[in-house]
Amino acid sequence: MTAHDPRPLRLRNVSKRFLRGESDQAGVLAVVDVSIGIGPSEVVSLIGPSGCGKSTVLRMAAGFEMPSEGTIFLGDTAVTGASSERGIVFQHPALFPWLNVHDNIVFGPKMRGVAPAIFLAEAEGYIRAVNLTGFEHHFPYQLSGGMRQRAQIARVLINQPEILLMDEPFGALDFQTRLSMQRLILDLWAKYRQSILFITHDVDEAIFLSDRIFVMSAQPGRVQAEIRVPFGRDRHYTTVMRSPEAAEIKVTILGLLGYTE
Amino acid sequence: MSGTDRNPARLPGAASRLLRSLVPDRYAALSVATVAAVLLLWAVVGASGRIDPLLLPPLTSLWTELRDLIVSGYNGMSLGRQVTASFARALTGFLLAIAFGIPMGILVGSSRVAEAIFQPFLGFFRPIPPIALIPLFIFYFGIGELSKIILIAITAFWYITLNTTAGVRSVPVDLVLAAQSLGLTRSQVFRKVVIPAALPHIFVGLRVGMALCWALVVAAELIAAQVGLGFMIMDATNFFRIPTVFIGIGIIGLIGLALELILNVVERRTLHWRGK
Repeated sequence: MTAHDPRPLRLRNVSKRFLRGESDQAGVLAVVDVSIGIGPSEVVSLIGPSGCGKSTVLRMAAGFEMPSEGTIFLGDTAVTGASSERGIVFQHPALFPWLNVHDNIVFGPKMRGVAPAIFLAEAEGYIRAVNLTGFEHHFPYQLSGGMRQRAQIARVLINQPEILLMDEPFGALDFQTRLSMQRLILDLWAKYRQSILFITHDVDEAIFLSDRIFVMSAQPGRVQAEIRVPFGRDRHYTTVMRSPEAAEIKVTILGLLGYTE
Repeated sequence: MSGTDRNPARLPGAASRLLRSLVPDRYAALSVATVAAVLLLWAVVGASGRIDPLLLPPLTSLWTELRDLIVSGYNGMSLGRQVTASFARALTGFLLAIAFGIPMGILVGSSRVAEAIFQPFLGFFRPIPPIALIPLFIFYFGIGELSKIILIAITAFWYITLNTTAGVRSVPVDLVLAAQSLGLTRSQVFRKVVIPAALPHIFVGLRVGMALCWALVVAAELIAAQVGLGFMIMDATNFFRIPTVFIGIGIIGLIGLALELILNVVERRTLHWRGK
């Protein structure tokens, strides 16, 4: 369980302009006027074509980039930099190659000065939760892509973040591994209840995981629609994918993304 | 042996069996065999008496000379002293180069301001052949230990700095961002993520630096020294003690090889994750 209830993450009229060098006045507008909110324990997906700025939105939420305009709040606090309150999961698991799975996972709490007695016990639980028991002493290069991704997720979860920021985390995995990772996300959510902001370009994935989906358009990236997903959190892939509601949502999203036939 | 077997390390019959009982790997066997062949050729040529022993001393004379050097030393100093004198200079220079080169590389690699300040000097001095500096260093620091050690240290310093800088710059951005998101402070990110991630490059710098140190100590001793392997081969040449020169060169080569092997082992243990 998280130590305290997660606070909502809110993006208020967030825009991002990238300047190419010091003399560049106009720059490139990557994201325009994005206002979205992720409620406590809510799972929200951001979907859009590549280059639509969805990753930029996530990086701003993580505190890696500052918005050019607008503000991002976690609860009442403006986001001004990276923090373990907002855990990031990259598409390519940025595990430390010189640390084994266990040491990667306890790295955060260890560095923040948490007592070993606490984080060692917790690590065991998170390692079990992501099904990596028995692989604690393997190094990242000895793991499969799916296992690395699970190690990365455990490394973030052990910090008990209020929100997980996931940047196309399963985009590089094969289809079946992706399905099992999606299942894992639902199971982990049931256990820890952190909010999730999920970036993807996979429509099925967005429908299967999310409570709400924001669809973005490209160049510049803006939010063009918000879609509510009418399934409870206790969902199953085959049931969801067979349902007329899911089919309807899929067609709507594909239409918004430009696939009208 | 089948005709399609193209393994170059297969030797006929008894020789092959003997070699393979000594060395497990067939490629190692090939190395041993070629070295043995060269030595054998040397011994045969020496015994034939067709080459002036002054130009190419026979192997047997090297052996006698080596025993003589071990027993009575060279120029009043034992062979061990000659070796340790060179080794101590190289090691002192190398350690100094590490002590200054790694921090300088980290500084230049991580700060644009530091880069702007130091890069012109680093870029200018690095390509200057160190030998060109020897006369000036002797003028400044005398012909004693100081000029040699400074020459060695400064040359290795350029390359250790260069590679450390490259290492710091090549740290994957995501590793740093991940660390920040895990709640690490700036200094923790630096010490616990940037430095370990830069280690493979730093090791390249150490490797180059070490080879340079060993090469330079000999070069420096050729010019002005009273003891050391470089001095020994220079002095022995002047007195036509060619076997001594060959032995000196042989020892220099073997020590260089040993240093390389030691660094290889250290590197393989610390950087087992490298490139994977």
